[in-house]
Formats: sequence, C-alpha cells, structure tokens
Amino acid sequence: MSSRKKTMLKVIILGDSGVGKTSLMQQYVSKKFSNQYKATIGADFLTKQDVRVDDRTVTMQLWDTAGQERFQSLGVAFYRGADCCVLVYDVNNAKSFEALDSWRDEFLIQASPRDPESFPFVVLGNKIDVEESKRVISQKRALAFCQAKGNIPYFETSAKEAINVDQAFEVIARNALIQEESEEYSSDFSDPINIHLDNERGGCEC
Amino acid sequence: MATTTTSAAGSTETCDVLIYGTGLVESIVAAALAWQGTNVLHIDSNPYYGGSWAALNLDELKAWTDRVNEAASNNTPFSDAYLYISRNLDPRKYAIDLSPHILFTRSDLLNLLIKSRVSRYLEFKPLGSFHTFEQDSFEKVPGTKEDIFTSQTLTLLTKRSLMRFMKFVLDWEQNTTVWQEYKDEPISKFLEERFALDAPQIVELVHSIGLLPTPKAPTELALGAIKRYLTSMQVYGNFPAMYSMYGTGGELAQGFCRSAAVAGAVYRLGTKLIGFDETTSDAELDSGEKIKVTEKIISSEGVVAGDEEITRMVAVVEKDCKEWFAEGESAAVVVFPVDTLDGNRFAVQVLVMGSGSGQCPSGQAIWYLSTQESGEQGRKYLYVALEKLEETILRESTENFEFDVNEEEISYLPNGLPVISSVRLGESLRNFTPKESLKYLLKLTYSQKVTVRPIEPTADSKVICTIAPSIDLAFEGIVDQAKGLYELVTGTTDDFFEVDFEDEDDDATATAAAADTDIRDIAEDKEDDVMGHHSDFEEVAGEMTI
Repeated sequence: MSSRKKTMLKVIILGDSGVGKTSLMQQYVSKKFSNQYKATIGADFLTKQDVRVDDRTVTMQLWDTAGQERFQSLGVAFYRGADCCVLVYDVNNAKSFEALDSWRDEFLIQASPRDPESFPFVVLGNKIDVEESKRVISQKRALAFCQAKGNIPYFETSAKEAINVDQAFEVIARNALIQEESEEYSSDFSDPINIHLDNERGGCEC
Repeated sequence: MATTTTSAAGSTETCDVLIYGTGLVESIVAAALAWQGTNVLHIDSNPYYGGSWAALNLDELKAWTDRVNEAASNNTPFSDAYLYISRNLDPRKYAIDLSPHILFTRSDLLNLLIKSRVSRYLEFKPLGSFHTFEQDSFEKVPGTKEDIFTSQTLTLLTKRSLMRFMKFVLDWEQNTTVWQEYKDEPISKFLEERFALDAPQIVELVHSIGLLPTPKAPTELALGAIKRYLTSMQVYGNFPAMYSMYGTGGELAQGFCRSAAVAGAVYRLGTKLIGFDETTSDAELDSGEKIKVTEKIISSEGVVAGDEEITRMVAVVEKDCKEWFAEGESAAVVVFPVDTLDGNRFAVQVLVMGSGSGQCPSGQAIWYLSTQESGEQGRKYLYVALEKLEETILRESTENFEFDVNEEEISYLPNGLPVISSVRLGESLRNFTPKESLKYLLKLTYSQKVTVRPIEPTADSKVICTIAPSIDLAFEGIVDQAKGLYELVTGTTDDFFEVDFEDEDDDATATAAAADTDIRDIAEDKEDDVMGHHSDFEEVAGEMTI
C-alpha cells in the first residue's frame, strides 16, 4: 500500500505570535523572506514536494497557525494527524521561550498521539540574526529544556538569513517519516474521497 | 462599508462584525465576510468549535450534559440530557456528534466547500448504504436504475412504474402539470395515484431516499428531497452521500473558521459576550474587554430560535457493525418507517458510524438515532428502535447458529450430512435469540430544538440571531442561511465567496499540483471499491443461509 502511494507528511508549527513561524515556512519552501511583519494573514499551509529523506521521496505539508494561536483557539482539527510538531520561539523574547512547554502540552492533549513519549518534536530558536546583546535565551538554557523533555532536537535558526533552516527541516522530515511509518495503517477502509472532479473545478452555482 | 483589512489582526478593540458562536452557519458567514474584507471578530463561549454542531470527546460531552441540565443557564437548543458512560473508555478516542448530518454529493454546501477551498482541510468518506427496516429485516434501498433492473424482489410492473417515476423526478421542476394539483398533498397520495406505486416502494422513496419523516410530507418538498438522492448517485462512485471524518457539521465549521482566520478574522474560544450597548455599539466580553462593533453582531447564543423539538439518542456499541456497511465503507443509514415501532407517527432515522469515520475506536460503532416525536413518546420509540437494531446486528454478526429443532425436521443426504428444511430455517432465523448480548459503552438521550424550514433572518436591530440546526439528516438550507446573513451585513450576495485565490504566490500552485496527483491514485482505488462491492453482498448473503 505505502509503496504505491506517495507519502504525505503533515507538520504543524506552533509557538507564540511573532516568533517567525510563517517566515520559517516561507524560507524553507520558497527561499523567500519578507522583512515586513504582518501577523499571519493569508498563510494557510505550504506544500513542499520531492523532499529526499535518505532513499525516500516524500511530500511535506506545513500547516501554519493562521493567527488562531493568538487566543489559544486553534481547535482540534488543526492538530489532527500531525506527524511532527515544530515548536518555535524567539531567542530575543523570554516569554516565547517560556511558552514552549504549554504549547507542547497543548499539542499532546489535542493531538493525543498514540505514544506521547516517542512523538517527534523539534525546537527552533529563531531570529539569531538579531544582535547578540538583545538575546535573552542562551543556547545552554534551550538545550537544557530540550534534554529535559526527552532529548528534543534543537536548532538555532534565522529565517531572515536562511541560517540552519534547511538543516532543521531535514531532521523534521526524517522524524516525521519515522512517526508516519510507526502508525499502524488500517486497510479495512478506503481512502478519503477526492472531491475535486476535473470537469467541475471552478464551475459551481453557489 | 468600512473595511480595515490591514488592522484586522492587529487590534481587537474594534471590529466591523462580531460573530458569537461557531456553529456551521456562523462559521460560513465568518469566512465569507473575512474574504470580502470585513474585519471579523469570531468568539464562542465554549472551549471548542462548532456550537450545536460540535463533535465532542467524552470529557467535553460530560461537561456539555451538565450544562444542558442546568436549566437556568441553558442557552442552547438542547434539553433533558441523560448520559451513561461505561468505565475505562479513553475520552479522546471518541467524537460524539451533537447534530450529525450527511452531505449529498450534489449539494450547494459541497459546491461551497470546493469553491472556498475549505474541502482541503477535510477528509470525506463515502456513504452508500441506505436501509429500510421492513418486517424485522433491513432492506437495501435500490437507488439506481441498475439496482431496479437487477432486483430479484420487484415485479415487472413495479419495475416499470419505478422507472417511469425516476425518469420524471429527475426534472420534476419542469413537469409542473404532473404534480401541480398535488403540490401540498401528501407525497404518498401523489405516488400512488400518479405512478401506481405500491406501498413498499413508496416507503422506500419517502423514508430512505427522501429521508422524509412521514409519507404525509407535501409533494413539492418531497420531490426535491427524492431528486437530491438520485442525482447524487454516481457522482464520485456508487454512493449518493458522504461525511467528513471525526465529526460532521463541527468539522466543516472548523474548516470555515480556519479559512476565515487565513483571511484575517480573529478567533477567541472560551469567550462570552456578556452585554451589548446599542447606543454606543460597545460589546462587552467576559474578559472585561470592550469591543466597538461598527456594523453588526451575529449571534447564535442567548436566543434559541428553533420551532420544533426532536429527540435524539446516541449509543456506542462494542460491535464494528460492518454487516451494514458497503465494502470499504464505514457508515450506513437505517430508517424505521412510520408504523413500524408500535405506532410511531414519524420515522426513526439512524446514522451508523463505524470506526472508519474516526469517531470511535476499531471494533466499535456509534448509532445516532433521531425522531421528530418529542419528549417521553420520542424516547419510547427510540428505545424500541434500539432494541430492533440490537437484535438485527446480533443476528447478522453471529456465525454459529444453534437451532432448537426436532428430529423429524432433519433429513439426511446420501453422504450422511444432516439438512434442515428451508422453511424451518427461515423461522429459526426470525426466532433466533442470540446467546451473546450487545455491550453498550455509552448511551445518551436528549431533546433538541430544530428548525423545520429555514426562516428569513431579520435585521431590525444591530444584533442578528441565527437559527438552530435543521431537522433534515442532510445539510439542507445551510448555504442559503449563510447567504441571507451575509446579505444583511453587506447588502448583497453577489460577492459571496468571490475570492480570487489565484493571486496567492507559487506555493498555491505547488499545492494544487499535489492535489492532482492524488486524484489519480484515488480514482484507481475507487474502481477497486466498486468491484469489491458486489462480491461483498454475495458473501453476506452466503453467511446468512449457513
């Protein structure tokens, strides 16, 4: 079954507003960065195709929070079926780092993965391009947190300067694939219906 | 009107439209307005999306039951909730749908899901099994011309009458002369007098195909309902309807809310609207904040605008119920027509959801029963129907029959194998009382106010109230309701979801390309399913005659 079908990995990106979730996605998928901050409007999910993971080719679907994280109103549907959860904070913003733990808890409650202990998280400390004097969370502190939470992989990134972004997403893709394959697949039921009929695209009377 | 998209996400001190409640209609309106450029603040008093449409996990369901029964603070269309949950269930493995609905493949709502791209957030599963309960057994409904042709039980004359009716109903709107004088007469009268159809066919057309509660339904309304089913067959495959996984209306509502958020709407769950001052246009939230609302408040909470009460029951059983599903599917509709349950005046409709729906763990199924009869009487009929369902599933899922037969009823074949006369066998099947009993993991009954037919929303004040979910098992009139509300705010429906998604950057193209590849994969799978379909029926039939 899985050999015939293309593997689609769902990755969700969590973290406080303004830490750079959308920028990281954009940088990874389109190699673009916009300096102009707009609280996420228009970002839905981005799809990156033909991602090589060792000898496999996968498609990654990166889901943005679409601003619904601002008042903790993401809803259970957003979390469903995620293969990897990326937690992002801003190294220059202590509050965003302190929120990581509650984002992780929220994910585990809402997504309720079969084995919470082994579910893959990746932590990204973003905006390392900002001058060193403004930095408030040290690498040591971040690493201690990740170690305490079951050795979560940690990367320090800059979406703006494209530092470590590809490296981080390589690990994200690999861990998501491992997770996806560990979920037992029930072949009793057919796949969801693809409701996009070719002759109907765009043409409807609603 | 004032459109301030740029500040949409930045500030919540002002908004054009405040929407209170995240039910399906409100969520569609939120997305439509947000994409049109209106600054929307969308809140819900619950910590989850969907309002009266929500699908709840067991912890949420317990809290919901308590809330419904606290008479003083019950601002929902629900009342009289009784809940039993057996111990040791994992609360998060269940999604109990408060107002389950099915989606016909030819419907305005599905068109809107595609047009708005909200369908991309959802997973749809097929629903092809519609059964009518007749004489203690489930009859599969013939929904296509092929079914009628190949039916072993219909007489030639009946086949001809049915064919004639099916041909007519596909464009009944044009053939007014045929039905005009029956417009408000019962559909059963029309079918009998105009098409010479017999009672069993009328029952199936009315109850299982039209999903109407009674054969007394007015002809005009009923013809539309029957056509809905027939034109939906073969659109995506051998099934007329489908449903979204993990919950029906609630999942769609969440999809539309996400779409609204992408367009800039601000979301706040667990937030109550506690007051609104018409003169200053200040809305007060339970957080203490004041929001200036420049245009309208659309509210589904606080006022219950339902005009009829239905009775519902939800039962989670420890049986997969696959005997009722078509191959590869995980849901079925079973209808108990009028007068099949000790004098019921309205049909009892049952939506059966197996584990493939994502609503319960494997090896279990959820039965959603509902009837238009209210109160004690309604509950009584639901319990009778529940008993019949239980008997049927135990009989159909039992592999080892043990018969209580007399020696003289058994004859022996030359090779010594015993044979029971077939008449006796049929009788035994009917009188069969399974040794095994059915285990109920959850039982819930409640009453719900619903709308029988859509009401035009009115806007005499700044606050517009929306209506409760409709009585129909299918999503009916939802899009029209949403459009009506949209028009009250914007003054027109011309630009309702007229969104040019093409101006998204290249990434959108990448996504669309990914979707294309899936089409091919799934088309292949679908063919397999249709092939598997028929052989499955033979198998089931075979099992029963053993």
